[in-house]
Amino acid sequence: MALEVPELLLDPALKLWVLLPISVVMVLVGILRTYITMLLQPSPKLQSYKLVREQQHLNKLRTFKKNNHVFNYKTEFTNRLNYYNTEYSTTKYLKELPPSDPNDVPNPLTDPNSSDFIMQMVKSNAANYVPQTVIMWWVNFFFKGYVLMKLPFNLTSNFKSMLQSSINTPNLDASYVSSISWYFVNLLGLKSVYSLILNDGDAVNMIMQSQQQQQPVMPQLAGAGPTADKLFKGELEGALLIQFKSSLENVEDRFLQRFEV
Amino acid sequence: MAKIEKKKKPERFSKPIRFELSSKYNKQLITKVKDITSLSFGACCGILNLTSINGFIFFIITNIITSIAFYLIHLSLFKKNSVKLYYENPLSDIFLNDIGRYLASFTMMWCLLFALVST
Repeated sequence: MALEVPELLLDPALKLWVLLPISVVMVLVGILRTYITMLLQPSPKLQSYKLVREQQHLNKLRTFKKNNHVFNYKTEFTNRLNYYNTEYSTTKYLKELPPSDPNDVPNPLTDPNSSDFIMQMVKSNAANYVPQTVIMWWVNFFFKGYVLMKLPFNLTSNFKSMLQSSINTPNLDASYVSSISWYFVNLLGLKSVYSLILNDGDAVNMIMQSQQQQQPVMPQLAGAGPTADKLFKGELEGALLIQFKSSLENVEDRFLQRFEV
Repeated sequence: MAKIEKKKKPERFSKPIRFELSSKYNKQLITKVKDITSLSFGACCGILNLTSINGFIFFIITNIITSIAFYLIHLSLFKKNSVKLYYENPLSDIFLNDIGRYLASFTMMWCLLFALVST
């Protein structure tokens, strides 16, 4: 039934002058992009001590909740709980006093912190998308109008308009594609090549990094998420509900049971 | 003294505690091994001139073989039951994770070598 399609004869020079250059350029641009994003990252700014204090106290409360079973006696636990309850119910450790009107939400666009944050996001996004668009334009501009390669698998004819964009032969087999599709294949497949070349999975690097720079508190967008006093209140309510049970309770029984003959 | 229920492990102490950085590193080890193998097996596939479904079958088989080999080497190098200690859910971490990424890099090398070899 199927007509035997004669093999299209492709010029071997295409491989040398189109196929390999596109891959090499894409790898190099990818490496360049990672280094540029590295350079664009701002050095961590010093944070106001009030913000850090607030976060640390929140963390303290959370850790207490998580590890409450390490206390030996119930009195130890309740003493601490009472202390936290009296301390954190006040506004002593808050970065700023809660707004008197709860419906008064600050405009996130006027806050200087958040505009910095947004700028940073825009920059990193641009560093991702600009090179891709430029390469796509470059491939489309220089290498259009001919069949570059035959893909080793069949595609349905729906892909023709995308992958054979500049070739006007309606009956050509869809596995013969122009250079833009080689670009797409590279775009998807080069991820692992990058990670092998840049060696970002190096364990020593990672551990060094995490030790050197203390995790900065994420610059929260104003108006996004609950305010700190609500967070404190929520954590406290959770802590008050804890049914205390020491991990050392009945430990001798458990020990004996474990080593029973 | 309160009676304790028998044959019931206390739940909160049964799970091993993990250091996040180390388990991340362990996962990256798999990623590295599978990156290299999927790229090179893609090259093999292109040189062997496999087409359409044969190539994808080749990918699946080599991927499974790599995973099993990783698993077995892990077992032989370290003490028994170690895979469970090093990976939170070993089956999905070793066998299934990021399979799209490996398929993409496999396909890239396959296409490249297929085009280079065929004249």
